[in-house]
Amino acid sequence: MGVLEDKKRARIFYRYFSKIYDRINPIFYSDDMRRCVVDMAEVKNGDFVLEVGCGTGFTTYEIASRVGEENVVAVDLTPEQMMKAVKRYPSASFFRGDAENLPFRDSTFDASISAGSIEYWPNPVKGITEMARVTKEGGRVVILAPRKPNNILARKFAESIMLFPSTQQCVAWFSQVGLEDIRVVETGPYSFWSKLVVIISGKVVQP
Amino acid sequence: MRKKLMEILCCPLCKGDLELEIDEETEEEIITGKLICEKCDIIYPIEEGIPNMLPPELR
Repeated sequence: MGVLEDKKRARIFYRYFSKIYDRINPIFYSDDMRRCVVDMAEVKNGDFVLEVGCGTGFTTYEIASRVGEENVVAVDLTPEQMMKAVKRYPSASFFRGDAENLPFRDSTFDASISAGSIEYWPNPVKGITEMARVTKEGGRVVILAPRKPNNILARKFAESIMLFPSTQQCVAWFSQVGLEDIRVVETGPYSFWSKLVVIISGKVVQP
Repeated sequence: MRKKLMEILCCPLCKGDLELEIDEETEEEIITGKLICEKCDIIYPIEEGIPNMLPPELR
């Protein structure tokens, strides 16, 4: 287990990291990447969308611009991060909550999106199962995860910090949860770093 | 929290119904209050308009 793959440690880390987060995050997560995440959720204006792990609201911006700010429900573990998003998107709805124990009823949302949060989930399958549970039939669950680096030294370093699933691992999790029509995009912020993350999207079908 | 969102909320642990107690509100929003799961015997506080739906061990 990586040092941040524990919710309490992740929260303490972000309490301090929050101060510089908005300057660092765009280095790893570009505008094109967040557009791709929301594209893969196939949402339209008026759809009711859940975001799990909204942080300071980088992806929230893109979701709100597609469906309308008032149709976004966002959850995060860390109040320091979330308060920035709350100020930026006053018409969206915010909850402190845990990805693996979502406080929403079954089949509530037209889509559920989580970008850059799964690496902190001790039980990713439980988190994906929860996102699928709260999403309506025919809606999509979309997750962006940092990809397991191909280089062995980079991989060892990455894994000592948190969870870096491989693309195959993400597909296996989505299948295990019963999501269908699974689509995958490997992408990154720069041409020399073009496979930094995997974005995976699956459709919720009737069990 | 907008009042109409009560419709979509449930206890994060048992997924059962929650009871709402309002301490401070506006016409559309709950500012301060509590969401209570009687079955799990857990109180989820609402502070500054934001419900804290974390299971107690993660707060």
